[in-house]
Amino acid sequence: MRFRTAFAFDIRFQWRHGFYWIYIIICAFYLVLLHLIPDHYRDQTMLLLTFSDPSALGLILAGGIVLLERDQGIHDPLFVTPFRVREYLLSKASSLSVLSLLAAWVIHVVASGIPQSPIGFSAGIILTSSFMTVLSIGVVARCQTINGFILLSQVFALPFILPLLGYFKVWNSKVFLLLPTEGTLRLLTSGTLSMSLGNFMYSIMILLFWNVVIFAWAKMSFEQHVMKRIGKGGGGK
Amino acid sequence: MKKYHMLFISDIRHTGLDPVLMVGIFAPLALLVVSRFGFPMIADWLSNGYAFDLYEYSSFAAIFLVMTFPMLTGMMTGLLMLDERDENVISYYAVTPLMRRGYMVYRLVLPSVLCTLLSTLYFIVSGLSSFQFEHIYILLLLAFEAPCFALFLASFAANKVEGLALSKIGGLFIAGPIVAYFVPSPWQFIGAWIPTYWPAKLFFVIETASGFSVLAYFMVGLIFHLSLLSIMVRIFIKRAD
Repeated sequence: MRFRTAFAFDIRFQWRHGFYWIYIIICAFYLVLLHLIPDHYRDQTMLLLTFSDPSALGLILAGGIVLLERDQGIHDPLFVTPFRVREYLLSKASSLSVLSLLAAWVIHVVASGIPQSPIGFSAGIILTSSFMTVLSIGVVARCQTINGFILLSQVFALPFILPLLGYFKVWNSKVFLLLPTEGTLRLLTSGTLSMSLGNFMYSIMILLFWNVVIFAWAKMSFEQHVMKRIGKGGGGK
Repeated sequence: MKKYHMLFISDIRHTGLDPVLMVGIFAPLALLVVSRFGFPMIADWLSNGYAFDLYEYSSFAAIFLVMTFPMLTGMMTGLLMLDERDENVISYYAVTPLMRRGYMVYRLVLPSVLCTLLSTLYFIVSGLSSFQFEHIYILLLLAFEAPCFALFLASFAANKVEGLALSKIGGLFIAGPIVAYFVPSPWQFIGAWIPTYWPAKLFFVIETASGFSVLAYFMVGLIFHLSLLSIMVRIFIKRAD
């Protein structure tokens, strides 16, 4: 019940601050770009755009939301209620995943039709979006300013873009198989190409594993850097 | 001048806390190093592996990368201004000798100066373009572009969350050089409303023409940038009040 209320509130918050309108503009821009790109590059470009934006939108936006809540002193009253950090993180991750999923589907359906494996494609978007959102919250808990957060979040996210090197055949390494984004790329590819069950299972498992790990880390980071300062004024600053 | 000096010293002291200056300087320098040393390596790799001549696109790469300087310094300044507005710091500056106007002038001049210096350095050192006298026109447009990006966020966003969301749209303005280079001539004026289109277009015009056409493109670009800046300054002041 608490989660459902928080989820609905987060969706309303994102709507009120124009996230959905901004993503309509961004999707429109990407669709124009995809229309201009030659056919044989279109699928790769679409995958790159989906990977770097809708699926990773939480990386920047979630941190901004937490910083604003901290400035407004929302955490103090919020966490004296029975509301738990676990529910807070889940609510942020799932609400931003909705936006990610909608944006990714719009781009895919308009540019190249319904994904060949809708379940695989959607699972890739949702699990990557939740991973990036929770990573962002874990990072922002340690930051004081928005620019400091942007810088640190890029440092934390950098290792996770390495599988793109393998995807574009620049440099391949077995180590990439250990990264969640290798799973993301495989699941996103299932939008245009068929995918084996083994591949599907690997991608889901590696993403789930990393989601659990990053969730535990972000929860600890949030409790250490935000919760422990609650009540000391400045909304946990 | 002393009031600005104090603020500058304070910004340097807080570089660890808010890395606008640090990133504003080091990110363009990193791009400069990549252009100088990385571009020839990538060009060789593409030439040997895929028979693709990247050098044909070196002038496009030069202006595309330079265009990220005002975007980077401007948007980071815009987010800093939003941070300061959310924390009511701007109201404190308003009652000091600096006043609100002084605060805004300082915040907007710094990215402008930074962007101009780094862009000049890029044109001279990157090896992707040779510096010509007419490039001063481009540098002037870039100097106005950085504050435009800062105010795009600070004027239209109500807080840092909206600022971050708007910065996603701000990132799309990188389309200016793409339109100026790849879109055929009669159609490319559709992209004329994008601020980054004008310095990029001027850069390509300088490569092929001289005299009146260079001056004409510069003047149109300058008027466009000054109009944008004046509109956004007015919106920012209205919002701060």
